[in-house]
Amino acid sequence: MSDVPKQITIFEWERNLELLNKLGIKQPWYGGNLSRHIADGDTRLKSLLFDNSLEALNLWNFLLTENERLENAVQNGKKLVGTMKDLGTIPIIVYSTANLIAFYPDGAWWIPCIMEQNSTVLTIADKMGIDESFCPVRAMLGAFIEEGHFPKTDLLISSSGAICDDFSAIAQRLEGLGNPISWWEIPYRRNPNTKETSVELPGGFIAEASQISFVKEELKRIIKIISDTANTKITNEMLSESIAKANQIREVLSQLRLLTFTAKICPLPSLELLIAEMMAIHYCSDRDEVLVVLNNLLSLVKKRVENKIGYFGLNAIKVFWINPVADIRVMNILENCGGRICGTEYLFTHALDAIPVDIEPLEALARMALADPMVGPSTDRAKRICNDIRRFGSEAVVISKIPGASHCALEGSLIANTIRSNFDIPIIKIEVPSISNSFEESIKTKLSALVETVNNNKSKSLKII
Amino acid sequence: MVNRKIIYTSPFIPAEFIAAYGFIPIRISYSGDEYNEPIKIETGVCPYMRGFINYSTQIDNTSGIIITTTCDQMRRGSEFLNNNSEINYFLMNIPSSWQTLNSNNLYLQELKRLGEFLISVGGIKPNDEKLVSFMLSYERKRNELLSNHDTLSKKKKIPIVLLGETLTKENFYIFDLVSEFGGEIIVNATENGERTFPAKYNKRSIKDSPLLSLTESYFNAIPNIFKRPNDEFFNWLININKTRDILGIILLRYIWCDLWHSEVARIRECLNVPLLDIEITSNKTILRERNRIQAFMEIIKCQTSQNK
Repeated sequence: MSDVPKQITIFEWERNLELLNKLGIKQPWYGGNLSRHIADGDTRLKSLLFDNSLEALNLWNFLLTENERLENAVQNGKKLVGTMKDLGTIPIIVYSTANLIAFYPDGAWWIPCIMEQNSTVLTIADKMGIDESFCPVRAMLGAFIEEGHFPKTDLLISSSGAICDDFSAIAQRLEGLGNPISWWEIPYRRNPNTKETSVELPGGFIAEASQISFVKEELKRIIKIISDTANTKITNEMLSESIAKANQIREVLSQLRLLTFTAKICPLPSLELLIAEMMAIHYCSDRDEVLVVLNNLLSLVKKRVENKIGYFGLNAIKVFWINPVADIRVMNILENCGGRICGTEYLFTHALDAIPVDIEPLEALARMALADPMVGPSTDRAKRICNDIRRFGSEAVVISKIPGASHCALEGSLIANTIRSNFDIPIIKIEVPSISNSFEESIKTKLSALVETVNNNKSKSLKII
Repeated sequence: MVNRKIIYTSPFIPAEFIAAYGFIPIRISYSGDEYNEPIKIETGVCPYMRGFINYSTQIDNTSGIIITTTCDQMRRGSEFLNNNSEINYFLMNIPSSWQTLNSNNLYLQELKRLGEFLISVGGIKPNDEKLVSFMLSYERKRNELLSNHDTLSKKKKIPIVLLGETLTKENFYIFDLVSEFGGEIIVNATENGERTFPAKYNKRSIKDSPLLSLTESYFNAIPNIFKRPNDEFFNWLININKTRDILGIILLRYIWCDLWHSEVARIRECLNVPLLDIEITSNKTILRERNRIQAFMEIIKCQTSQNK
């Protein structure tokens, strides 16, 4: 097995694994042949390209064994908390206790992609009246009804208020089917007027002080509910410790992203980086192991950067990608078209920023929750994206629309206009459904055109010089 | 002061509050289909939000526009107002979760903030006595409307509930259409109908704290689909079904409105009367749905005859 980075198929991984086993290289308990997940129904894996490192293998196996972890945790007496929509805040509280595990049922939105036609979650959602005019997160409703995708939860918590309508509607529908939800309000983040007190949030957004106080009260209420479920009083010390652990994970991810986006040669493909970023929100249900997985990935990336090895060559176009894709295969497609990811905004940047530790923990969590890019104006989000474009040197932007998502209808224009007023770089909008096969040629055409545009602009600049 | 208009759209914005500051509150119920700026037609854009934002920016002699955070579409739409520095607008934060003291306090604080906005656009802050006077006057007018409605509804036609989002002027035609086919809309449960009238003010506490009374009667009492949880909306529907002997429901919802769309099945399940679900895409929708409305009324007539 070579150290030269190469994207390989799942079947090539089978051959590589035989070699690893012969060399006596140990894998963690969740390790093993990636192709075994195909037997579980995850057939999309056959269409993907994977980084050929052991670190990436562990990352994928860690992701794809989450349900097993949740089942084991429940069998070992832990209670399961399904936290919804806030993407990063509530798990910090949950993991401050020893006997609760948090996960995001929202993650079910990828079931139709990963399981392709093997899953009936979307059909079930259709029958419940939640059709394809809704965002693919409707799969979550199907997943709850179909069962088997995750264990039954002991507690469901969802944010409400300044959240996308699709999710709000689907979560309410879930409650209407007899799944009690503890709702907590996240108010629309607004810019303070001149008489009000401004507070800077992690990531740079500004909020009005009374909004932070409001969210603190909401979180106090949720802490009480979680405490009661855990039969443990959650103290400030426990929260501080949980924040410290979250920050460790965020620090690793921060380094991983910076190195990957700024290296001359791309050290890690975008699919693996997407998976790694996603782990920030609830640690893939194992807070300790996720740090191991991510630290190993970071070591790999550092080594590749040092050795100047990687993917896609020096001329790959640096693309800033906005919004997560419902079909993860599209990340491979971008790279096949001559692009590489240099910048991402997958709707949860607040789960990547360091949580302040110089203020009391509840205040820190409230600020973090309000720093959710989806909670405030799209133009705020766009300004942060612009800062990152500058930081990472992105040469083009892809705004990936999520089909049916209420926020995507207008935010694309708002974000694009802000970027255009700051940079002279091409921007495209594409829509990525859960299975993009029938759209693949159209998506390839658009991404290729984006790459060509950047290359043409570069040629023109050289000619002028 | 010169009478000036404040445009608003949500039933959670108390009109009497705006009036007490010296403005004419105008609740827009106009689709604004013919205006293409600042929001263009695009897949996923709610036509009602688009029409409201586009139309309200065209109205002359407007002191300001008030919108609320009750749906994602309106929140995003408000950013287009923000891009136009000539428009004074106020985005009022209406919490979705409503059962906590925290949310109630937030609504009350937002009323105060709304008051500051109204002053900033030329309004004069009323004292409590004046505010209470406006509140009671508006309540009297609402009571008159409701009692007239009861009088009108004594005709012998098939009683129908009209449910859903804001009914725009172009769609008022539906009342005539239902009547033409033998029905009568006895309950207008749309966003600008009786469902969203505030509860009667507590006469004992209104003078002590008019803002708290507004919070109790508006925020706490109006049943609505966006609330979390929204059980009180369904309880209200079930109650209407029991007390008004309705035989059918026509639900009007805008295309891309997830909040209403997601609840169609649950509305159907919780009431044992036929439901006609109409998705509004433009101001010509009701005309296009004429045949469906006729068929719906005929189904109810047949069912009623069979039951007899």
